[in-house]
Amino acid sequence: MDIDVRALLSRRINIAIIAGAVLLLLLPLILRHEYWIYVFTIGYYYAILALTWNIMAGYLRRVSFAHMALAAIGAYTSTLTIINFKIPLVLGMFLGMVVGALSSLFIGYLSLRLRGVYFTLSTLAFAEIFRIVVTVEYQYTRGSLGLEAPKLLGNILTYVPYYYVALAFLGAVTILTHLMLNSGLGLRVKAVGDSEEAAEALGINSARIKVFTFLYSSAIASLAGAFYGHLIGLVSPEICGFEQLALVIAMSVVGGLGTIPGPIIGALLIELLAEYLRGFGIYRYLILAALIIVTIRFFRQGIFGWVKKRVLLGVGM
Amino acid sequence: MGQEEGFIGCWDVSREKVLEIQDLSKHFGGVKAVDNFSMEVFNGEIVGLIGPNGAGKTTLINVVTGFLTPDKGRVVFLGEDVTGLPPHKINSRGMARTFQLIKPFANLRVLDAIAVGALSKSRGKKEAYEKATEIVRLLGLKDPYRVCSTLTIVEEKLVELGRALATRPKLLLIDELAAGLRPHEIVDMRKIITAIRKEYDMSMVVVEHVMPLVMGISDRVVVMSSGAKIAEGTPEEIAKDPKVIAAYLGERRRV
Ligand SMILES: Nc1ncnc2c1ncn2[C@@H]1O[C@H](COP(=O)(O)OP(=O)(O)O)[C@@H](O)[C@H]1O
Ligand SMILES: [Mg+2]
Repeated sequence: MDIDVRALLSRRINIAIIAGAVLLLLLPLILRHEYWIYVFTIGYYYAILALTWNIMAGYLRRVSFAHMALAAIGAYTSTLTIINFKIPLVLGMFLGMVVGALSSLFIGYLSLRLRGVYFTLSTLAFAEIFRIVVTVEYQYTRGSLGLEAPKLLGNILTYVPYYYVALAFLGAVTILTHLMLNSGLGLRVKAVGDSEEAAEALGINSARIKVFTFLYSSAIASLAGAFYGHLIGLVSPEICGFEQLALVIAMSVVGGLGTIPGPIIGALLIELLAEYLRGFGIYRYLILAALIIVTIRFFRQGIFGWVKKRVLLGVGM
Repeated sequence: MGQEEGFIGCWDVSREKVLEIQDLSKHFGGVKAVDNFSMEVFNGEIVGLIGPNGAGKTTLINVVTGFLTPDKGRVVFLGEDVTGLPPHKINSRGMARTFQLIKPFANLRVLDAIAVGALSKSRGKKEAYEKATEIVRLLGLKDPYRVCSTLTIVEEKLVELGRALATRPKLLLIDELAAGLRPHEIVDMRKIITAIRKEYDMSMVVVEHVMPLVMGISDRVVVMSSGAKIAEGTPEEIAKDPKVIAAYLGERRRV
């Protein structure tokens, strides 16, 4: 690619991103249906989770199976502290983020120094233990029935304000992540992801970078989980169920690993698709699994990579 | 001193030692990869370290740069004991290395990869990229915006060299830069190393399994075989040394 093509591409990507953002801002005016506004709001929650999971999988190249468990930790911490200690809702959400962050530090210190597989297995073990404890500790968590969570914006009848809160949250996470990944710190993260040994040889404390990246990704996931609980009004072990994790992974992979717009696009498309396929019950996951396989086989860069090449650059058209 | 006495006579004795490897040993099970090995590198010097395949050269570099811990012995760098420090700490003290089996940042662009090296010695990202741009020019890398996974072997090796250089080392250990290259490419590499030497104030240890690259550029050559030092001297002395020739007889005769 020569310099002109690169400049053209980045200009077109910027235009596409701005157009997309404007479209999402105006969407409630176009959609009108509360139901679809709600679906998009939930989609933004998934987009935040896919985006942050992808920081691990797509940049640091470590696969975490604890992502949804960390979201659930945020949700439970927030709701339980609000119910039991009568603290303000925002403080509860903040505590959810802090407890999630501390949990990730704990997992990170134990397992990030080890090879990648061991980290992944540790996150899996952590997630399962958490899910079992939450389900069993009935007197605090009401087990699989779940807890009723106070609503973020009280008893309002429309989801439009939630839509904009979720969109603002996603926007903030996107911008922050963009800044992080394009800073010197982000360059270190990418370097450690590509070759830990080479990064070490160049003076980078790879253990510290890995713990930081996991902390960043997990803290946001926990805050998103707390938000989700106060959005739907229910906190249950389902937040960290395997289907949820599979959904978030599918969103990242199909959208495009190692890119920022990819997981967002993937999350919105798959959330819409999953809603559309609701009639298929559990079989819709079969369709999603097929989608992942097709993406990995034919569109390595995901939807975003394909759009970048075929549509924005016009290659092969 | 003993053995080195006569040798040091032809150098400026007042020059400080950059690196001192003292009685270093590293064994893998029964294999004595590095066995009671000692050598030193003086300020501004290029030392060639040669030896047949399996002599222990890479293991030595791994121990010296902190990727492996020694079973015995010390590594003294710029007057301080750095034995057992993690690689990133050793690098920030001013020792850099390249890898024989290159470890590329496959998803980064050439300029990014080199900037990674410059990061820890720069005040910010901008300064790191300025330094990286300078190095790209020095090494004559054509398109700094290409992704590293698309490079040729020669380009990959240059990036490997460039990013190590970007950490502004006092000592650079280069592990088998010539391996896998064709003769005319080796000549280019030799020119580049000479150019680097002119541009930067540092010492180098150039590790090779064969002589051609080392011969023209080294001030001094150390020969390693079965983990131990078997000879040391000027390139001309080494080329004639019967012990060295014997050490290589087991394999291809390309000394
Ligand atoms: N990680 C390791 N585990 C076991 N044996 C090793 C390891 N690394 C190197 N060796 C052995 O140590 C000896 C020296 O290897 P090496 O340092 O790679 O030599 P050179 O770089 O001179 O070719 C060889 O016999 C090799 O098989
Ligand atoms: Mg070697």
